[in-house]
Amino acid sequence: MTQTQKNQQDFDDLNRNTDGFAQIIDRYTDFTFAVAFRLLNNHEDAKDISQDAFVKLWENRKKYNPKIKLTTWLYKIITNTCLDYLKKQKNQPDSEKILNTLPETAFLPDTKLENKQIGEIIQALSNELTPKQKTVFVLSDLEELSADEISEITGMSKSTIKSNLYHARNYIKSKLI
Amino acid sequence: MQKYNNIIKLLQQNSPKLADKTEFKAQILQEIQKQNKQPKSVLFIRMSKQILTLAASVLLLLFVWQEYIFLNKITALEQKIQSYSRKHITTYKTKYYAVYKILNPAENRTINHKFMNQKLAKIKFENNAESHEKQSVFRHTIFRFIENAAPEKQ
Repeated sequence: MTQTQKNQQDFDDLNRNTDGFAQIIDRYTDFTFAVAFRLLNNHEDAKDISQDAFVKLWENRKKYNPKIKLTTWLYKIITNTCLDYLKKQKNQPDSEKILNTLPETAFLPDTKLENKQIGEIIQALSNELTPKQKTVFVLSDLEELSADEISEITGMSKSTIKSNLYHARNYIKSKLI
Repeated sequence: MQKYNNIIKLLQQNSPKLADKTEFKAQILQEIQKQNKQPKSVLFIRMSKQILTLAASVLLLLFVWQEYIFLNKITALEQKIQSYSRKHITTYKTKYYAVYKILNPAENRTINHKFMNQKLAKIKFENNAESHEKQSVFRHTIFRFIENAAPEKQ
C-alpha cells in the first residue's frame, strides 16, 4: 500500500463513525504511546497523553487533509500536549542516580528492553534537558524525523531545531563519558 | 561516542508498547460516546456565545455610527456658524440672530431684541475678532444665549 493510499484510508476511517475511528486507534496506539512515552518516560502519563491525543484527533477529524501523513498530525498533537505537560512538571528525580542503577547489559544494542528500562534510560539521558531540547532529541534521534518534519510538527525554525539538538546531544554525551 | 550511538540504536530498536490496548481503546471510545451524547447542550452554548458576540458587535457598530453622525452634524454646524460669521456678520447682534436662524430654520420668528441687547451689553466683544480665543468665546456665548433666550413673536 502506498503512502497516498494509507492517507486516504485514514481519511475514510476518520470520516466514518466510531467504528472507523476504532480502526484508527488500533493502527496508531503503539505509535502515539511510544512517542508520548519517550517524551514523558512514564507509563501512566504516556497513556493519558495518548488518549488525549486520540480524543483531540476525533474532535478535529474534519480538518484532516489526506495530502499529509496522519502520523505527522499525531506527532504535532502529542508533542504539543507533552510540552505543555512537561512545562507544568517541576519535580524531577536525579538523573545521575538513575543512570548508575541501570545494568551494563541495558546499553547493548541487541538487548530487548522492557518499557521500564527504556523509560529509565531516556529519563537518565534527557531528564535535565529543556522540554524543547527533549522534544527535538526524541523526534530527531529516536523517531528519526527530518528537520523539515520537526519544523512542521513543533513550529520551530530549522536553526532553533539545530541549536536545541546540538545542546541536547552534547549534554547526553557528557552524561555517558 | 560509541556508547552514545549504542544507546540511540538501542532506543530506536526498542519501541515502548502499550500492554492493555483493549482497555485503552475502550476508554477513548467511551470518552467519544460521552461527547456525542451531549452535542445539543454544547451546540447551544457555542451558539449562545456566537449570538452574544454578534449582538455586542452590532451594538458597538451602532454606537460608532451614531457617534459618527453626531460628530458630523456638530462639525457641519460649527463650519456653518464660522463661515456665516466671517462672511456676513458685522455686528454681534446679527451674529446671534444668524445662529438662531441656523439652529431653528423652521421658526418664523425673530429674537426679542430688547432681551438680547440686555444680554449683549454685559459682554464685550470686538467686531472683527478672528482669533481662536475670541471665536470660542463667541460660540460659547451664542449657545448660552440660545439656551436662555425665549423667542418672541413679532
